[in-house]
Amino acid sequence: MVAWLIWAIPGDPASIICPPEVCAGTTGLAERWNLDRGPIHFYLTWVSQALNGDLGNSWRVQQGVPVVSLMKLALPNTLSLILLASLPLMLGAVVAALGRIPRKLEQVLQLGGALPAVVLALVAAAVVQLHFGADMYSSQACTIRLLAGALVLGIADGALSSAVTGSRTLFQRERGQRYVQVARLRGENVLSNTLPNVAGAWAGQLRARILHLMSGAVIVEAVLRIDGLGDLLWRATLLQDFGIVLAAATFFALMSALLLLLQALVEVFVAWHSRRAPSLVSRQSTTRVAA
Amino acid sequence: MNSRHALLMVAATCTVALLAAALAAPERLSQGDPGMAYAGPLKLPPFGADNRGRPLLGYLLQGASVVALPAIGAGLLVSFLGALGGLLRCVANPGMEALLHGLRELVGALPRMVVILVVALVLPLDWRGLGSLALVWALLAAPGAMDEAAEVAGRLGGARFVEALKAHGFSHLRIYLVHVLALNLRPVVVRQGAETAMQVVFLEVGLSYLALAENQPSFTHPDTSRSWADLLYLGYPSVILDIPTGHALVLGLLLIAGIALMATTLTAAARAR
Amino acid sequence: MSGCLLQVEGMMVRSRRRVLLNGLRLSVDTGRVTALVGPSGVGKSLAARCLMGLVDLSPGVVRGTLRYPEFSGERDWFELVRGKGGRGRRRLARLTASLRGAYVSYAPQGAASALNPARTLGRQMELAAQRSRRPVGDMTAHLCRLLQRVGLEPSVSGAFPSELSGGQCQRAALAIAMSSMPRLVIADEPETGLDPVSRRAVTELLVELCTSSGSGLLLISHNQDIVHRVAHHVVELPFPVGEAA
Repeated sequence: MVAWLIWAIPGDPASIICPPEVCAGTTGLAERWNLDRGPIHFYLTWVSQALNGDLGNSWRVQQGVPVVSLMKLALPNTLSLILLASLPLMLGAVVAALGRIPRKLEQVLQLGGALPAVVLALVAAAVVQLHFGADMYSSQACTIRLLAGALVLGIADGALSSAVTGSRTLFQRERGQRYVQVARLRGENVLSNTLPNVAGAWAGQLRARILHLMSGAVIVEAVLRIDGLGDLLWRATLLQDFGIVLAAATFFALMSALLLLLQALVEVFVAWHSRRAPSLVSRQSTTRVAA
Repeated sequence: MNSRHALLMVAATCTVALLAAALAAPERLSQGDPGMAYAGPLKLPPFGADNRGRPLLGYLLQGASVVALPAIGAGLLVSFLGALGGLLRCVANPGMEALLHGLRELVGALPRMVVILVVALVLPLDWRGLGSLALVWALLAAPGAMDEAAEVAGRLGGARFVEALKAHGFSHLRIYLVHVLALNLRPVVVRQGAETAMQVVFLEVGLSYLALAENQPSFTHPDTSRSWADLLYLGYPSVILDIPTGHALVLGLLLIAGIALMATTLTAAARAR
Repeated sequence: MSGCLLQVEGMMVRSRRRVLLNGLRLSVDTGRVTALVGPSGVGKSLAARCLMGLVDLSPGVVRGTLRYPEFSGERDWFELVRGKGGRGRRRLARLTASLRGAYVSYAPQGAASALNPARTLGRQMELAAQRSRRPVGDMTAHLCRLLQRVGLEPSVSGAFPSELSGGQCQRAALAIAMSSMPRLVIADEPETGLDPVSRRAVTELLVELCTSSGSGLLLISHNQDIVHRVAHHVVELPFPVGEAA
């Protein structure tokens, strides 16, 4: 997408990556990033270098430092933040799916979710700063900032409330289906009847929520000064550090692809589980019967 | 006046106030009176002054001018595309439905903030502004809105619903605009539009605040104008240090709450019967 | 009381606004068919749900007794819900859970929408059979036998409901209902949505399945012809007349 954007926008690719007003020497920049030989060459070169573990060097955020080193430092914090934020989100979604979230609590969550991440993050930052003062960057304060960030990320911009409301609505609608009512009359478990039918959609919803967390991590990390990938991406964007932006965006895209793969695996498993019936004879004859 | 009218009145008042503030925004903040520095709302009505004695009213108006049109435009665009998605389901075009679904899967897999930052990086300096970022945000939100509206239309019966109404003698225009769009898709498309408008405002506040914290120019507006994030930035130290700018923070938070109120009431009014 | 599977006396069900069912009195005996007839909207399906311990409306059952003599002797199940509110209704549903699917089974109307679309027919039959209170022996042989008895090929067990026709779905629903070898089957208009020939065939098949296995059948229907031909005892459900809310 980045490669396409750079060449889709009118103008010299090197000037687009870093305007002459900001960076001097666009010719050097073009050579350094293989921008002078078209988008395909640029993309293939970058990918082959990335596969060899070479993402280039930072040239404005931390001059000369390999991007891979910066990413290695930032990655654990971002992953911890997203993981910690997604735990209550998953828990909320499961409880809502079971229909155990009181309506009033859901309304409270929705009210909290209406707050933007930047405001909640500011509140969290103020609390941490008031508590730790000059020790803001001690290891204990860093842990607290990470936990506060996870809390903010989990609540702000409707992350938790959307997960709760989405799961409740999905399962409630399915529980209203006639086959579930009949299964209930046959004494079967309602959840085991509904779950295979909504598992795919539910996995899709939860994937969207985790993507939302990844998106929100940028603001939360930047406000709370958490040395994560989001903060790195933000500073790199401000300072026009193309290498870091490209690497961070690629990482987020890979995370997204991984989530998509997980969702696909859930769907495949459900389909396999549904087919795992005591098929008394082969499937070929089944289709003949149906016909 | 029923609850729907009351909600609509609140939403309309908020929207009109936002637009009026945007129209009344001065090009530059006034010089200010150093003697009025940190003045509270009582000393310098209606909102007090900043650290250089400039009225906060200027911040409010300029901030409104930064967000009003991009936010409302993005909201309208998402509503329009959402409605289109719902109506397309009613004409039963499987190819188009598959395309929409694929688009939603593709766009939905992109973390929006990351895309916004990448776009902000590669956009030429003179193209940068909240307008272009809001457009990108709307385009990222649109496939989801179209898919959700299509699902509502699908539950309605899709093309079968339209055929049934045709059999009752209704015209095409009436079926699509009144029966499908106004009576059934309205809650979804209005909510999606209102949410997008709110998100664009929050995006502006977030990006501007972070740029201020790094002492860098914002992507969303020129350096000469102020955003609502400036109010938060100005007021935030009052929470930690003994600086009397709490009124700026309160004003910033109230403005954010006002935008949330506008979106919530509009959504509730569209849902109410 | 010997051979009596279900006994209900003076059942009255109401919502907050009106009386939905009043004065229902019936019993079902071993190997016998009792029919519950009445026009549409009279509350036949509601009665079936209440008889199975699922009262999903408030205040729900306000009068009457429900006994499953063979299952629980003289115990009056409605004692749990009469005037007890939502908690009582939930308790009744919980306590009768072991009864549903095992002692009493349910054959629905409009089976195409009553079968789980994401499970194969065989899996649905297997799950139902697992609730049986009696040993089914070899599961595959049991399910094969049942499918053949309802006129379906054993190969159908690997099919999803969407791959079957309406008549096949209805027969499949009967097979699922009989999988657990219940003592009592409550069939809620099993002939609905079928053509006249299939309608008669399905009802006769159901009666044959129940009587041959010694189960009782409560047949809910508004088709007087069929009912009078197959039922040993017919209970007519009139529109309820009761005090206003």
